[in-house]
Parts: sequence; C-alpha cells; structure tokens
Amino acid sequence: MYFEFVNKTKVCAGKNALTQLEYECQQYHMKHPLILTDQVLYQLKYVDILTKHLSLEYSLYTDIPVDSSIHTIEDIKDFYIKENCDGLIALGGGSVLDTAKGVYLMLSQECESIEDILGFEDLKLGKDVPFFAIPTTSGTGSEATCVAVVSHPEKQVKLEIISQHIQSHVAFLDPVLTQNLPLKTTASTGIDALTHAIEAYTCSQKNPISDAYAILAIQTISQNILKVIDNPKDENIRLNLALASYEAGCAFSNSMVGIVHAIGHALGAVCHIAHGDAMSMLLIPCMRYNLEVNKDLYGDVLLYLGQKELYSQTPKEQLGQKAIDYIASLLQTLHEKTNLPVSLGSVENLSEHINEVAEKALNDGALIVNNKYANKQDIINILEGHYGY
Amino acid sequence: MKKLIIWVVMQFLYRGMKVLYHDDPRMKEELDGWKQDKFLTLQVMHGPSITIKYTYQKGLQKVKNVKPDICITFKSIQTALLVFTGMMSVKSAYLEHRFSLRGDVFESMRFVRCVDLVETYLFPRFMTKRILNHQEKKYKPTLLIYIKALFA
Repeated sequence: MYFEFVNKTKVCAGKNALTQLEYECQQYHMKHPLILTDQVLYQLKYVDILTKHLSLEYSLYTDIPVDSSIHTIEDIKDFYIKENCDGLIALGGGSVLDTAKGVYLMLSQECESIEDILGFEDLKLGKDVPFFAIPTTSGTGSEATCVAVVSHPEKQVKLEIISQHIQSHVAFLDPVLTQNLPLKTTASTGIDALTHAIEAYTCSQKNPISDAYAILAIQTISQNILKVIDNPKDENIRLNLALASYEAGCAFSNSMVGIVHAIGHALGAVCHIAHGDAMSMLLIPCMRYNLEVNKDLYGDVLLYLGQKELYSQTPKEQLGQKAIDYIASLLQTLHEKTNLPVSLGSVENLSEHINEVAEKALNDGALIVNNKYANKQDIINILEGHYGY
Repeated sequence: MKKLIIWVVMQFLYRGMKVLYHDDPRMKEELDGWKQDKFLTLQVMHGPSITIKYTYQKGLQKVKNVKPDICITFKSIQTALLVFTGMMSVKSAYLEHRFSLRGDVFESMRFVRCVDLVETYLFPRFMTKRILNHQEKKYKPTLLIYIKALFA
C-alpha cells in the first residue's frame, strides 16, 4: 500500500470565527487584501459581516458568476495587480472559492493564461500569495481541497487543476454565514457533502487518513441534516454541517470521488443542473450500480449513518443494500420538506442529451477511481433509470 | 538497464497504438474524439521520453522538440518500470500519485483508455487480467499486431 495525504489549511471554526480575520491577515502580512464574492452575497450584505472585522483597506470584486470561467479569473488577476493587493479573501460558495483558487494559482505561478497550469500534481511551489477561504455554504468543501474546476466557455468544457499548492492558507467556518441559507440549498449542499464523504470512503484511492475524515463527515451530516431543516438558525447545527463539509472536502481531496461526481459534473455542464441537486439525483442510482463491488463498504456506511440497531439486526450480505435504502429514505424526507429534487426524471430533456452527458462523464477523472469499471453504456443505463430514478 | 527497458517499451507502445489506429476502430474513435491535432509526451523523470503527434483522422507519428498539449511525467524510474513492464496498471499508478500530468485532465482520459487498449493486445493475458479491471475484446490477433508493430 502506498498513499499520499495533504492538508495544509489552518481552520478557524466556530462562533465568531470571523473576529480572527484581522489577526490572520496580520500573520500573513496582508495589508490590502482583495475580497472576492458574488453579486447575490454582496446584495445580501455578507461583505459587511466580514468587513466589520477588518480595519484594513481592501479592494472588492463582486461579479463572480455562478458558473465562473477562465475569463473571470484572468479579469480578477488583472484587477488584483491594478489595485496593488497583497492577498486574497474569498467569500462565497463553490464557484467563488474555485475562482479564487484559479486567481491564486495564476498569481503564485506568475502565468499569463490559466491554460498553462492545467493538470494534476505538476505545479511547483510558486510565489507566496496569502489566500483565505470563507465558505458561505456547507457542501463543496472547496476551502479544504486541492482541486479547482473552472469552465472554458468557448470550448464548453470544464478545466481542472489538481495541486497540493492550491489549498487556502486559512479557512473560516463561521455559522453566521450559513444561518440564512434557504432550506433547499441547505439540503442540496448537505447531500453534496454526504456524497463527497461516501464516494471518498468507497473509491479506489481511499486511504486510512481520508477514511477518518470521511467517516466523521458521514456521522456529522447524518446527525444534523434533518435537524437543520427544523432549526435553520441553530448555530451549533450550522457549525456541525460546516465542519462536516470541510471534513468531506479533506477526505475527497485526497481520495478523489467516483461515478456520482463523474456523471454529476457532466449533467451540470450539459443540462445546467446545480451540482448539489445532481448529487441528490444520482447518489442512489450510482450506489445501486456500485453495490456488487462496494457491498461491504456500504455496509460500514450504514453504521456511520448512526443506524446501529438496524446494522446489528441485518445479515452481513444485506448491509450495503440497507445503507442505500436508508439514504434513499433520507433523500425522500428532504424532498418532502424542502423540495430537493431527488429524481433524474425531473431533468428536462435528459433523454435528448443522454449521449452527450455519458460522453463527458466518461472523460471525467473521477471515473477512473470508481471501484467498478464503467463504460459509456453503463453510464447511459444509469441515466435511463436502470438503477432507479 | 532500467532506462533502456522503459525506452524500448515506450517505442513498442507507440508502434502498437499506431497500428491499432488503423486496425481497431476503438483506438481510432478514441483519438479522433479529440477532434484536433495533439502532441503528447510520455516521460520519466531523469529517464527516457517520447513525444507523439496525433493528426486528426490520420494517425500517429513520433516528433521531437515540440511543446506538448499533454505531458505525463513518471516521478521515478522504479515506478515507470513497473508500469512499462505490465507489473502495475496506469490506473494504479494514478491512484498512487506515481505520475503527474500537465494539460487538460478531461482530454487525457482518452489517452489513458488508449494505453489500456494497446496493453490488451501487447501484454499477455495473465498480465492484463491483473492490471486491467476489465477485458476488452481483441478485434485482430495479437500476433498480427506484434508483427505490424515490429516491421510495419
């Protein structure tokens, strides 16, 4: 056995975590940071929550779109240089954080085009640019990962950079930032994190350290995801979900994910389905597809989902199936309470795009680490509902 | 000696891919899926390398001194030897972080599948059973591919 594990991010987690922001800026000699966010968060005055704790001068970029592209990254890089900034603070969900990672890499690697630095594990340590990540959802785990995905609008593809030098220096997990998330987004991002953890625990690149993070994430999400729907303002529950998202990020950043993400990325690119929603629709069919090779690992998942009684009463060979059934019922409850889409049947015109989605999924790096080999026809079968909708 | 073995297998893999481009529709379909010309480099840190030019709908040829679109670098001679002698699969090498890649990760997946396909033909079955998690059908006899790769 041989594996590698990397996690260099300092975490400031808990109530009033943002009050540490100024101190951390000082630690990293940041005197004029560039704050990155999107228009929605800016309109909702999330920047004010942050700048309340910042007496430094700063520059602000608020135009990061939902599906950020290489052009946005290159624009921000130019803006950073023009404003003479000396560090990055990214405030937002997956798109903002991934964009910030792209900007960070372009600055630290001193490159002219993001296409020069695509690939995995190829980048050397670059120029030091302080980079803080402040997630406002509990799902992507991007604050912890070594991966950035950005779109290339002209080529209509997603570009991927995987490098140990991409992680943020400090991540702030403050429940104040997720307390007002809409319930549907809370459910969708929570299932995204759960999918990260389950795929990290069951894919070919798993290792003992990533397992520890994945198990912790599965336990924490299962204990909190239904509670948060009834108590969305509860700081402890929100913090637990933020921590679980971070833990799942640490896990999958080192073990990668699997077929759920491979198809989910393609579904997002072709049918413009929100990533968390795609995970909610694909998790069960893909687990059923993988069941024959992941039976024992899924059985473990049942235990980590907190179903000790069910686990002890179920014959060993049925544990994996029971885990799938339990997650399916959890998704159904979330669907009833928040309108979370859980069926591939709800994707408009999916049948017209199945071939394109399957083709893109086949070229996704996540597929190579799926425990069960999948070809194009297998992916089409999943999308056509052969493993349930 | 290790470097020499790797160099020889590299040449053989290239020749195998070149032959299969014309003899196995799956190889052609994979490479043509790029829809444009591509330069690929396969190299070993402090060891041999090979750069291949794929010309859209025409095939493969060896080239020198070009900046590749995709560059795969094995991090050590030891591991490269395991991969090039069929002791370790490309997938396992990826899982164990044994190589790095510069270029578009999505586009590189086609190349990984092409290597799997050429290994199906060139490596004996007892080896491919161990290193590949699926067995592809052979459209042409292995001996024919060997002869063409050696003499064509």
